[in-house]
Amino acid sequence: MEKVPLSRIGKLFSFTTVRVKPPHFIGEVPYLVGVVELLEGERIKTLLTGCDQSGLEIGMEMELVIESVGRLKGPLGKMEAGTEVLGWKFRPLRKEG
Amino acid sequence: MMRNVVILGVGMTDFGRFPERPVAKVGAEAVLASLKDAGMGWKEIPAVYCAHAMGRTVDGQLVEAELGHTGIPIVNVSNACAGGGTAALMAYQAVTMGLYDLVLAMGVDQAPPGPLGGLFPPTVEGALGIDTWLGKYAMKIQRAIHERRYTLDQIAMASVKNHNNACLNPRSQYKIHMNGVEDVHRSRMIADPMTLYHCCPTGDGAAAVLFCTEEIARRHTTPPFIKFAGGALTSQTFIRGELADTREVTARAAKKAYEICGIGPEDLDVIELHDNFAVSELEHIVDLGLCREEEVGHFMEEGVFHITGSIPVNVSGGLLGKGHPTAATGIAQLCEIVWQLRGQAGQRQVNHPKTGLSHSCGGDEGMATYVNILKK
Repeated sequence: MEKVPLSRIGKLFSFTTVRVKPPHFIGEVPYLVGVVELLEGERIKTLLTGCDQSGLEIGMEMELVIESVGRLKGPLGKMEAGTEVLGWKFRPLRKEG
Repeated sequence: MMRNVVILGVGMTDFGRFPERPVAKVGAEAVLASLKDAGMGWKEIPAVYCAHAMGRTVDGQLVEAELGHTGIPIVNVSNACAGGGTAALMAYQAVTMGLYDLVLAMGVDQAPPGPLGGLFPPTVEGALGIDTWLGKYAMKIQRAIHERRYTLDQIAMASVKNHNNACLNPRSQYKIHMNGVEDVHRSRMIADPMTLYHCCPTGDGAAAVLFCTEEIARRHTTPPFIKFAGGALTSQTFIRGELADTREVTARAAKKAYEICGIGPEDLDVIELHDNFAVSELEHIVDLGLCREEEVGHFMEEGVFHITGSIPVNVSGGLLGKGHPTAATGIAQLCEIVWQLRGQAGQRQVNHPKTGLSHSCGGDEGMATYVNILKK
């Protein structure tokens, strides 16, 4: 086994707006979720941020950000209820000036 | 020596929601129906394989207690939504290998309303909301449309067809007649572009099937017998870079089952497959080798998969219309195929079928997947 750092950018493989609250989800509905294909070819399930659904298109370039998702309603692993959870999210790549 | 295995009797309850009925009574109703169908009594049954995904670990024994204690061996089979098909395969193996001459396979479940994921322990992905069935299937649709494999209308047509087939099935959970794809598109948005009628319901129900040797079958009925030709069970493999899905496991189970049975997809006359979401039906039609990816959408438009079409799929109403009491599904599919092969399917009868296939995927993205084949 070898640890390989993955790239922080990739292409949007698919996306949707989930409107029915999934079991155990700590955030609010509706929310944007997607799959991003990283440069290495791995596909990552991820929350999407920094845009609304109309701004998304399959194949567009995305970049990783770390943001708050919400607070745990119950314990999860070693984390207690109420713990703020930071999650990985992707947003449309912002070209720097 | 491998012995031929006959399906002597089948029975199922209505599918629906009856949470006030104990699971043992629901299961017992299906067992009694299958016994009546075979012309047998409960005391003659020497062993039971009972599938369930929701209940206690001894649901099979609770059903046995309801029917009267006979002290027989009972195996509880847990394989999520593939439990029914797995129990059937185990019962078949027990008879063909000579372990028993007669075995009952059954499935019984009472599944709560709403997305099924709540039954699993919380995970980080679940808390983040990134690993949900609704989201994943909506994204499958987005991909299929993007790749121009299927249109949203073609996907919705699977739902229209199966809901309308369910109207012809007295056992169905839902009898919602649909005039066209607009009825699907207009239903509540679940995860864009997937609406409510793209999604199968869960519910309550049970089904039972009696397997026996030809020798026992001859004592109760006359040929032609309906035989369990064989089947295959698969689980996922690791494919680098890809997200797990139900397609590769299905294709692999089908290939194995076809080899074992000496039957090809072109020989099948009636197919009950895993339409947990409407898009799954199109994918699995392809994965089972019934037609090619570039054909399936057009075939759906042309009515090829209708009761009167050349490849009838989910004539019972499928999971979408008949309902999906999880582990009962795989057994109920066999009930439908037996009724079809006997010519007892009433208004949804396919024209003189001789072979049938049953398929479902259990767990997250086909962790357990089976294909079972019957022939006359």
